[in-house]
Amino acid sequence: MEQLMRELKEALIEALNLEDITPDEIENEAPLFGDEGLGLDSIDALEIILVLERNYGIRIANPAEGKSIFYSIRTLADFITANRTK
Amino acid sequence: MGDPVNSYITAGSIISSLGFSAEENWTCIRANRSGVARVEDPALFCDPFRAARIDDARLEMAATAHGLEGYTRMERLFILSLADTIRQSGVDPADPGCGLVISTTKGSIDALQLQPETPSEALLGKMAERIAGYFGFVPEPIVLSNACISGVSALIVASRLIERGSYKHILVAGGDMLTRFVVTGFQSFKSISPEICKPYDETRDGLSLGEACGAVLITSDPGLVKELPRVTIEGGAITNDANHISGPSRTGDGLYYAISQSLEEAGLRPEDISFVNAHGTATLYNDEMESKALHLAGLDHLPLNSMKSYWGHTLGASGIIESIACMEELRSGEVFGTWGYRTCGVPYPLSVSREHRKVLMRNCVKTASGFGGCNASIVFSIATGKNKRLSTSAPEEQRYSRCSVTIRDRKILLDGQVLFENDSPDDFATFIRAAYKSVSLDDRKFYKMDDLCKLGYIAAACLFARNGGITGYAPEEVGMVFANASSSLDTDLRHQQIIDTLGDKEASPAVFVYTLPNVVMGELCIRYKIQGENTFFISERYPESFINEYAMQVMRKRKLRACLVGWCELLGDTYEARFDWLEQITMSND
Repeated sequence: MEQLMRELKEALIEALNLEDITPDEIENEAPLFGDEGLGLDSIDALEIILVLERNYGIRIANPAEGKSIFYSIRTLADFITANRTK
Repeated sequence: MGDPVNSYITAGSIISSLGFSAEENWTCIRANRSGVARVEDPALFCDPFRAARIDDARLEMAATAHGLEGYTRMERLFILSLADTIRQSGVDPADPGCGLVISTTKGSIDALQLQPETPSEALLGKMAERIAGYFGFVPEPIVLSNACISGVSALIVASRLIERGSYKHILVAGGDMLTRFVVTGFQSFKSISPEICKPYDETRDGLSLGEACGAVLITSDPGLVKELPRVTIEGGAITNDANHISGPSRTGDGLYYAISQSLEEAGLRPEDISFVNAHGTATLYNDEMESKALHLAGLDHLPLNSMKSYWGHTLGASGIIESIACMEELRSGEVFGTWGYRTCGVPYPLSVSREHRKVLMRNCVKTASGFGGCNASIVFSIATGKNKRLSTSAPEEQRYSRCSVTIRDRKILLDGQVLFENDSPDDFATFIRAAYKSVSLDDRKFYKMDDLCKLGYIAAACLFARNGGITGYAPEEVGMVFANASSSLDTDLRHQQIIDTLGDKEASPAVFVYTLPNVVMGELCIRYKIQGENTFFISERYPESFINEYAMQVMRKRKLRACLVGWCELLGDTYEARFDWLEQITMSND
C-alpha cells in the first residue's frame, strides 16, 4: 500500500503539473480537492480518471462517481487495490 | 452624441445537419426532426458516438457549383453561407462601407492532422482573408474567437461598430466543424451524451456536438431588410464568471450581469420580453447555472428554448444560427420547442416545452456561455419604427489614464522601464519561469496554465503589482479586450500531437481546455475578479487603435470604468505581450 501511494503521488505530480511539490509534501489522508490540501479542480479529476485507465486499467465513465474515491491519496489507493486490472 | 442609428439584422443563411438554407432548417425543426445521429467514423473518433453532421456529398456539389475547389471545407462553408446572405439582401460586399466579421473557435483546425509543419490554413486570420478576398471586401475582416459565445459576441461587436458609424453594413458569419480535434477533446471532458442531448431535462447527461455555418447581415439601412416585420439588435453585453476556466459558475452571476446589462441598454424590463433562447447545452452544470442566472434576471417564468437538440452544439456557429432562429421566431410568432425535453431538471423551474408554442412577439433575449467563463446576452426586437439607440460615434469629453507593460525578447518593460531581464538565451519556458519567480507570487495554478496564459498572467502581474491588484471597482465595471495572431495554436498543436501519437482516448482535458485563446482572459478574470466585457480578436498584427477605440466605446456606454486592452501572442518560442490598463478619469464640474 505504501508503495502504491508513493507511485500515485509521483503520477499525480506529473499528470497534474504540480511543479514545486514533492511526493513527501502530499499527505496520505489530506483532501486532494477544494481549498484545503492540494486544491485540485474538476479538470484535475478528469486527468486522474485518465491515470486510472492508463496505469491500472480502471474505467470511470461518470466523473461524479469519483467524488468519494478521489478524496485523498489513501482512498484512491484503496479503490485501485480493489479494482485494478493491471 | 450623434444621430440615432438602428442595427437591423436580416437575411439569415444556415448550412447545418438539417439543411442548406434557413428555410430547410425551419421545415425540419417544425417537423420535430433532430440533426443529431449516430456517427461511425474513425476519422472523427475511434468509437461510435452521436453528433450532427453536414451532408458532405451535398456540400461538395454546392462547392463545385461555386468554383470553390481551392478552398478548405471550413472556407467553403463560410463562402456558401455568406453568398446566400448577400443574395438575399442584395448588399454589395465590395462597398467600402461593408465589413465582414467572422466568428469561429477552431476554423480549419483539421489542417493540423498529421502535418509536421503548421499549415497556414489553420491560422484564423489567413482563413478570414481568403474568405474576404473571394467577395472583394474592402475593409480588413474582423475575426472573433471567444469560445462558445463567439457567435453572440460577433453580433454584439458588429452592432457596436454600426452604431459607432464605422460601417454601414456588416456581414457576420459563424462556423465550426466536427473534427477529430474537437470530438476527442469533448470526449476527454466526458461531456458528450450517448443519446441526443436533452436540454434542461432531469435525465440530461451531456451535450451533442454539431457542425454548422451561418451568416447574417447587420445594417443601418432598413432598405436592405426584405423580411417583415423588421428585427433590430437593441442591446448586448459580454461578461465573465471569474470562477473557473471550464466549469460554469455555481451562482449564475456572470450570465445574470450579461442579461441585465443587455436589457438595460435596450431600455427593456423582463415583462417586455416574449421569450428567451438560452445556450442550453444539456450538461448538468450549464443548464443548472442558466436557471440560476435567469431567476436572478427575473426571466425564469418566460417561454424558453434551446436549439441544441436539433443542431447539436455548433460552437462558433451556434450564436449566429440560434440568433437567426430568434429572428424567425419573432417574425412567425412561434417559439420553437426543445426537442427531447420532458421534465424540468434545473433548480429554478423554467418554462421549457417540447412543443412549438404561439407567443405574442415583441422582444427576445438570446444568451450563450463558454469556456474561459465567458457569457453573452443580446436583445432582438421587432422594429417599432422608433429609433431607440443613440449613436456613440461622437467621442464624449472623456479622459483615460494609462499604464502599460510589454514582454518580449526576454525582457519585461513597465511604462518603458526595464522591470525584469533574463540574459540567458533560453526558451520561453525558462524565461517565464524566471519571471514568475521574480514577481514572487505563490499561485499553484500558474504551472497548470499553457504558455499563452503564462505570458498573459505575468504581464498582468507586473502591471497590477504596483497597486496591489485592481482596486476601487465593482467586478462588472472592469473588462478585457485582447487580440493575437496565432489564437491558441501553440496548445492546439500539443492536443493534436497527443491524439495523433497516443490515440483518441488519450486526449488530455488539461491541454484541451487551453485550445481557446480567450481562456487567457478567463485566467486573468479569476485572478483579479474581473467580470465585465471579455472579447478576443484574431489579427495578423496588433490592431492597437481598433482595440483601444472599441474598449473606449464600451466604456462610453457606461458599462465599464476600467479595461485591460492588449496583445498576447505566443507560438513556440516566439512571444510578445503588450498590455495597457485604461482607467476613466472622473472629470469634476469646475
